[in-house]
Amino acid sequence: MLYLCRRYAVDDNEAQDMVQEGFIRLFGNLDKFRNTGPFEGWVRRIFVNSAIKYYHREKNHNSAAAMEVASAFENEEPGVLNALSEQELLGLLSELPKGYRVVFNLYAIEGYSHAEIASLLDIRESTSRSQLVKARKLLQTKVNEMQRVML
Amino acid sequence: MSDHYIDKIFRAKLTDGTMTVPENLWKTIEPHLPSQHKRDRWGLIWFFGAGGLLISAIAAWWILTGVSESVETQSSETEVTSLTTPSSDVSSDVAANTPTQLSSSSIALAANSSSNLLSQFSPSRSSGQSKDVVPLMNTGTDVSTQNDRATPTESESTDTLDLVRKSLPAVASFSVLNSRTHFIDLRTSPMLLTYPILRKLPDPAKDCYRFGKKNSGSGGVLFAEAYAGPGFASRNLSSRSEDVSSYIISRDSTEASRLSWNAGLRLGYWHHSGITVRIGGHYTQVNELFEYFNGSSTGSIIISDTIRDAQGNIIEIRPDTILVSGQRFIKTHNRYHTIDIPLLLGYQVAHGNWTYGMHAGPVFNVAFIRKGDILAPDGKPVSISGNDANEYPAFRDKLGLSIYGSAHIGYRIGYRMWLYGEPYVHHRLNSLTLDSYPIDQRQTNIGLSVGLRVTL
Repeated sequence: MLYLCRRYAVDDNEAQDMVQEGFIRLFGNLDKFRNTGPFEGWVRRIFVNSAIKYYHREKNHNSAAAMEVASAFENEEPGVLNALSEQELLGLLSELPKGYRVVFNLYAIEGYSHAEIASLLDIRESTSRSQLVKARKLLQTKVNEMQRVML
Repeated sequence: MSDHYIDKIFRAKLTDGTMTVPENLWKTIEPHLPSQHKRDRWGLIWFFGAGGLLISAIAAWWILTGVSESVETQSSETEVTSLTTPSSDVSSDVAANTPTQLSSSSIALAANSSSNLLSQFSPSRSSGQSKDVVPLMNTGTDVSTQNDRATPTESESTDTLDLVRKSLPAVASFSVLNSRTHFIDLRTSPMLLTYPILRKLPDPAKDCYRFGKKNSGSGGVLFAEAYAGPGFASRNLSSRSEDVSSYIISRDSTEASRLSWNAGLRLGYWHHSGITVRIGGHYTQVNELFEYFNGSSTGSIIISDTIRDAQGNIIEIRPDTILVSGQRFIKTHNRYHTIDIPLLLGYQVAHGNWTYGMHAGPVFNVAFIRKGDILAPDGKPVSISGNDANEYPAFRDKLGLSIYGSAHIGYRIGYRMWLYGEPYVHHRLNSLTLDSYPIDQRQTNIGLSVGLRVTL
């Protein structure tokens, strides 16, 4: 669960905060688990919700990190990305603005639909879509930057 | 699921990763965990309220029935096995002037213990009185008895489990192992026992974090215990000043220990370090059998005959004293009730579904109630019943400080509930008898309590 939260967090400290909140919510709601689905999925959902709640609370404090989206560089070749390690991918995620990161996590990794994301984050579906696209572009840009440095 | 290549790469590499949990993370989580559920608390309050009432009712019943039962025992078990003919000093005048109806219908028995005496005596008395009967109506005869004692003596779900098993790696995935990581036994942690989903957890997984001990913050769990069980009271009689060895022998030969009982309610606190503190109420009933036999017992019966005329007016009241002699046998179930407040300090550990522990501490007596008979120093049976006006002043009403020590083993039988057995030793530090009584009587109780423990 710490790893899950780390994907949503900008650093380890933020991830630990999310884990803390997640476990408090988990233990406080254990009696609400109705055996209607996998326990693992239920626990993941609680931690994802904790991360989202964290996002809601923090987004008011941190102005939407005015990270400009790099010019679109649609490299359709996944070779460089494929070569990146887990830690490097996590590092890339961490550098994303909070909104991008949450939407990307929910959509690309957790498998939520844009409608669900819109509901969870209290945004419009179109916003979710645009955030996702921007997140992908920014990730690709950062990959390319890494590639240039290496070369 | 998205099929964008970036999404795929991130999903493939970041879905099931693991990270090492910093040790201090749990210290920040644990104090914020909810301690219990209100719904369960009400259930426990009802459970222990009802249990307390039940135990109180049983204790009250024991105490109260001790009085009535001992009276019944006196009538049924105090027997004169044989009687000689009444002494010659029975007044012949009374016999001569008493109507024939006297023996059959008009004797009111004042005491149960004299019924045998009277019924055996009356025929001889009435048989000698039939000649000069005046046609008077006898309407009542008062009979009282006097014995060689001052007064008559009184005597006595699988689905959930699978789900949890499957999901444990996910729950515990944050605690990637390293040499400094400590683990929690999810099944036995007092903290986690409050959560129903974890109550059926299998053996502790190695990658589970341990609450408590060195890792935990402060805290523990409250619990309540209700218990009862049999025991045995060992006593020691010694001379207080003068040599009363023969009296001690007499008491030892007339009083025999019987199975005793104990019951109680306790509240406790179980710190994560294993230290426990318990306080509550402890009731003990020590039973003894008193048996007395006198082969040449004598007693007297005082009879007052009321003679009336045809109109019912009292003409004369004639007292009569009858001396009887014979054998006397008394069998009394003595009961010693004590109510104490224990304050116990102990150490308790959990292992799997089992708990083990020991505790000991001072016990403060708040009441000592007695029912029954003992031999007095003069060799006669006397009452020691607290509610008897003729109670022999031998015992104290409060016993002061005593010490209690026990070990216990418990097994979890359900949702926060444990069944446990507790062999114990309870030693009275002070004498049970008054300083004015020549014998110093000490007592040690050994027993086994079986009870239920519930974490609150």
